[in-house]
Amino acid sequence: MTAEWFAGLSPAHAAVECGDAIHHLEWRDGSLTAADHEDAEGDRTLAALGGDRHTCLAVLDAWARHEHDLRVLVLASRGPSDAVRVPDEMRMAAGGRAAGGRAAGGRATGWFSYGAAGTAMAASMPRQARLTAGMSQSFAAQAVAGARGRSSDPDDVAGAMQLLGLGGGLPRRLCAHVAAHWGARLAEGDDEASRRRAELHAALHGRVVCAVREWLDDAAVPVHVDMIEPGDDATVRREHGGLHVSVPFRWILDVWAPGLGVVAGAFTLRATRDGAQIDVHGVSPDLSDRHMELSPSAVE
Amino acid sequence: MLLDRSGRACNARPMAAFDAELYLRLAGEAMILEGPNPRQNVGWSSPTTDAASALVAVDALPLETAETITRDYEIAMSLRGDQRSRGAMFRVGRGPQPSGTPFPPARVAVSGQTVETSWGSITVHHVLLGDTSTAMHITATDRSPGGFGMRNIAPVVRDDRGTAMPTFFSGGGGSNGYRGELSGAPALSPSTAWIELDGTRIDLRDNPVQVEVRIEELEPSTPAERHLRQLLASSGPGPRFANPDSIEDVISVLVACGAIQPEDRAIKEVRAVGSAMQGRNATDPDLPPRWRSVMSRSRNPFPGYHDSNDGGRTIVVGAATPAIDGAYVRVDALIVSAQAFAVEVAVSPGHALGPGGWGPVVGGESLSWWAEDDRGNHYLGTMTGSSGSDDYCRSTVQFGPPLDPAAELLMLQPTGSAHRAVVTIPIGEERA
Repeated sequence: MTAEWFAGLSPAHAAVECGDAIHHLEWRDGSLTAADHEDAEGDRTLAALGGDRHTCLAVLDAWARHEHDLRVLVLASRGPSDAVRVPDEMRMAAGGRAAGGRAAGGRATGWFSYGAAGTAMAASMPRQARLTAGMSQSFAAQAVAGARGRSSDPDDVAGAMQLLGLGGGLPRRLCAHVAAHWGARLAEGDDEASRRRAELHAALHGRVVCAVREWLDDAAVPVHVDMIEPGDDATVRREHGGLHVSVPFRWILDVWAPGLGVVAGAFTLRATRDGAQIDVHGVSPDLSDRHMELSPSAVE
Repeated sequence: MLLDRSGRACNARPMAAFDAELYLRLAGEAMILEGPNPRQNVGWSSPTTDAASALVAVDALPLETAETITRDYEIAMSLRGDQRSRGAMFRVGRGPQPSGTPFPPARVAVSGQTVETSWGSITVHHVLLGDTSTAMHITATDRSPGGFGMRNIAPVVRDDRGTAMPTFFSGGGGSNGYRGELSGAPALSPSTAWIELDGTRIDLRDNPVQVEVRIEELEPSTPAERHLRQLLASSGPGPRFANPDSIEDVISVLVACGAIQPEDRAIKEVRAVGSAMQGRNATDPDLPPRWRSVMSRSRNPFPGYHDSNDGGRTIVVGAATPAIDGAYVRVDALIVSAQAFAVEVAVSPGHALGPGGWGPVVGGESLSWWAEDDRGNHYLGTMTGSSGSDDYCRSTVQFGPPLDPAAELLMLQPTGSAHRAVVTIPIGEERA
């Protein structure tokens, strides 16, 4: 991974209820930090010794578990037309509480729970209580319960879902982190990245299709997506009544994550940065080339 | 590959080497982009589960991989408002499923007697008396004020040797009555002449009919052909009850992975059956003969659950089959009424009953329940309820259309992938 994979991504924030206070999480330059915990390791140590546990630190831990997790790209939103709703009762069942996010636009809310999946709490509940809780769960929460299997959630699917409910732009930053990690491994010819090529291709496919449909305002247009090698030319062409889009996996990081999929009516094939300037190379609906130079403030 | 709006692979462009995992994941992406509930009221079926099952059936994708992918996309769908928690249905990481074990010999005796109690009534239809277990197939009506339900019914049952067996109920029902099994331990004497339930003696009668059981080999077929045919005939709630799109989705994936040719006879057959199920054409020449028999005798051969014990008569069968492609079946009783007939069965392993029973949503071959009478009529069974475990599951399989009143013999045919059992049950002499 290059040192500046996050160069095109603006900072993001979310608020969580941590103990009796509203605390803020900040993502900046590729790292998530809990600004209200100056001595995070010290707080962790105290919690391990039986002291107060901290929602902020639980978020950081979950983030560390999932920042390379390709399942995040399956669960997360593909774009503005693909709304993801993490259910309220999941956070209640897990002991977390909602608090307002403060991302640009201010419409997201953030929340989190202690622990990976709340399984220890569930296991300690009387059977009837568990049944009652189960009956009140949303379908999403029940789905996670199934994913946990009978007694554990080794993949921490619940944790991934909870991160996606943070709001404040953090879910998209998490996707960017995952994409940066696997994009770099793919570029290096890493065996594991090659083995998981289908996962990478599918993650790219869904996001490209979502952007193309937004671009053309056509929710039914057939789209074929080729995942090309890094350095190959990204293209769009008409084919068999649909569109054939060829872009590298890194398109997720460079184009989709900063919200550049559709810029001024053009579909973005690639976005490169030259200092503070962003060069956007795209195509218009008539497939003519478009080249735009954007300043970071314009992207914001 | 190019997928159309429904996620079905288009054949417009030639494909290079087929990538089964990518195909399944792109089907999942198409489902996500389509939004919640691309299909309504389809049991466990979805574009990803259908594709996953097909790919596993033809060995194009390992079961574990298919289940993991399908589960993840089902969870993703539930985050988008899909009103089914199908992620809970997958068995990822639970290890291999058990193999079947033969059923030990057991005596099946018939009763039909009703016992009145302070809270309602219990009708004992038949009793399974094994060396280590005893089970009574019952229906019950709860008339107590407020209705406590069957969860509170746990009578002690005694035999003529003085053995007392506390029982528990497993089954289901509601305000119209309950239906299921009372079982317990220690087992009652297999040779007891009567049992006593709540102070009332119930006489037991043995099976007067001679039941013949044999195993037959099926005509050879490819995994893809078997999968297509089983989709329609499976006893669990599958595409038989679904949007016909699901059949086309499965055909698409099997063709795409090269497991079957587009002009294969099995494809014509399943399309003809699907069309007939939609009420369009029950005389299609591509309808296989037994399907034609089923579909032509009734506009709706599978009208839904009918309680065969309500006014029906019970013929004790008490037969166990040899292995049917690894599964064992015990047929306890045949229940015949004017509207339908049903068999009470036990199956080992449990997953042989299919996804509606104890089986996995993806992978695992379940039995189909065909039957034929001595007048050339065919019948197809649907599981109407089940209980059990991974090792063993019991169920009522209800058949349609209604039994031909002139039939003298019924050949029950639990059918696996390469073999079927034929359990021949005389039904005419009982009627006389």
